[in-house]
Amino acid sequence: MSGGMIVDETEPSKFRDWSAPNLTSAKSGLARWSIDDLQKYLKPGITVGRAPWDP
Amino acid sequence: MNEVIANGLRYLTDIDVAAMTVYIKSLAANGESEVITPSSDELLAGQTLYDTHCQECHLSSGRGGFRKAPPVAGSVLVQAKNPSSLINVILYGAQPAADIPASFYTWEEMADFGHKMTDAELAQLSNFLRASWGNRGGRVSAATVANQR
Repeated sequence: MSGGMIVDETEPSKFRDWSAPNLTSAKSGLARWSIDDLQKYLKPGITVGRAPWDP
Repeated sequence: MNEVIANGLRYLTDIDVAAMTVYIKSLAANGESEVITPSSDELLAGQTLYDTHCQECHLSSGRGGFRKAPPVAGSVLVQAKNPSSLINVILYGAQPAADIPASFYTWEEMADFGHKMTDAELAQLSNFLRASWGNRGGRVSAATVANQR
């Protein structure tokens, strides 16, 4: 849950790394997010100052 | 993440979402990113690039614009220990999920900046993003950017 990596095949035999964010309470993770922030983010996708961002 | 929320999570019941968030918030801090302290020259170079290419949409506050661009201040993607996704978004741009409902909060498509900046410049911009507005992220090198091209 502290952030892994996936490899995306963007075209045949061409690969690109993507990293997942830290979902723990680390300062570089979700330390500043409240439970309410997370609920609003996950359900309607928006909360104050935060929002989904592809990928 | 747009697609995950638009096509999956938003259909969960409130009770399930509440259970997920309580669980996530119960996770102890782990995998903290190292903190970089760029020199004033590095920060200035990065801020100049930010002001030129990013500030119009993400704003000088880093908090992003409503229906324009997501915040970079406090972003877990910007601060991720592995900067691959941050670099990819700058290099190749980002698109909202194609089948996202019209009422769903989304962003304008972000252009790709890979052809507008050198690897060294993109590293400077990344380091500025990872060291500003209270963000905490490790150093990004030009070699790391080159590896993502």
